[in-house]
Amino acid sequence: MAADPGPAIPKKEGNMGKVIGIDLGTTNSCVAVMDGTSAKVIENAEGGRTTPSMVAFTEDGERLVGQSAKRQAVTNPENTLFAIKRLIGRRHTDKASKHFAKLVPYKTVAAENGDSWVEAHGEKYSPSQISSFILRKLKEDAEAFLGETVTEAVITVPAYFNDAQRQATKDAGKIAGLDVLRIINEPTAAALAYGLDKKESGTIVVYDLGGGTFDV
Amino acid sequence: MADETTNNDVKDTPEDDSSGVNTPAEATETSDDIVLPEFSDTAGDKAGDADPISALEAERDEFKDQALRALAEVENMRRRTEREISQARKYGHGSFARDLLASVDNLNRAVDVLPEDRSGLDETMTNLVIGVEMISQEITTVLERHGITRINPLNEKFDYEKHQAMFEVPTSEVEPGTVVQVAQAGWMLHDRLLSPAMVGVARAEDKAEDA
Repeated sequence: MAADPGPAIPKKEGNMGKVIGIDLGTTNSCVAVMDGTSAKVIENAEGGRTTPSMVAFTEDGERLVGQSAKRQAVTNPENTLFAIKRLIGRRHTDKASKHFAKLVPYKTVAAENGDSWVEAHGEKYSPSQISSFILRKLKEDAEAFLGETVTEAVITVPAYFNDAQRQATKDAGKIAGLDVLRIINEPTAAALAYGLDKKESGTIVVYDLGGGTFDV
Repeated sequence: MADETTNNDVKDTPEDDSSGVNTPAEATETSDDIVLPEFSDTAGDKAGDADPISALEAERDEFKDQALRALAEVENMRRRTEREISQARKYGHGSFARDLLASVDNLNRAVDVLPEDRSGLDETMTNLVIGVEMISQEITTVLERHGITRINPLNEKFDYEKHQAMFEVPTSEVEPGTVVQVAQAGWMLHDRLLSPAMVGVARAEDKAEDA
């Protein structure tokens, strides 16, 4: 073979790069990739297997994502955004949005079209945008680990998410530079992962006790 | 080959032979001219050959592509494995260290309560005090040898990369954003944070209380 394979897998139409799986959680997020026949959780730059789903904007105009955002949360409560998953795809006038607004120290506002948005240091952001910052960090961690660019992902959402919430999650992926191949229900993903090597058929119950919600 | 003559079927499509290579005809016909068989690589010469050849070529191209990809994949895996191994060597003792450092912190707390003035102590106590100090020194040396260093950022500017803000302290004595209390020292393993320093951060006294 005269050709030098190079560090990256050659791309042609129908991207042959690796697809990452992302659990975009209310409190923490996780990214994994198929390593042969099993899934491998990717560690972030600090060696952590999960990354807090937090985004903060500092006085100096810096944007922090993940652990660093969490560490300074106490000193910057109005501009440290967390649990954004509870707002994504919702309208500002939703009962859930109103309830949520009372529980968090940061500002929730209405977008021009009535969607629930947030405000930090006078700037307005959509929950999709905030989530995209988290997704972008996970994407970069995956690329650092794999040594190649990643452009495709599968993202999980709670089973009770409606169309608007699912679409908003997909948008977040798009903003982060990811082609979201599928939005999968979290309990389905868990059931699939459990059943990957099982031969018998049957019925199982999936309990998802997460950082923000408890779903069945 | 000069003895064999093929009376030329080069231009005609051989019925049973799909490879496009001419098989020598039986030497029933001879001719004064020796005609050598022609091999054809291109698919276009004979109508019937076009499909099999281009099909094979397409298959060959596919295999070639797959082979290149497999090579690239192996190369990637090799580099990734190398990186993982060197990371494991460098940071592998991190979780062990993190667990042990809790006790090291307690040892340091014990050292902090040791009296400076030992004149009032009896010999046994004095030896115990000196012994504990020496142990603490040794442990610090060993830790540093393995790349583990302590973060004690008292009076430094709050750094979200290495410190975890636990609470704010309203004060006008220092600039807001300065670390005024270290509840627990932090630890670094080479350039990676093992555990952040747990600190109290100064805040301007007139800043509104958060709801």
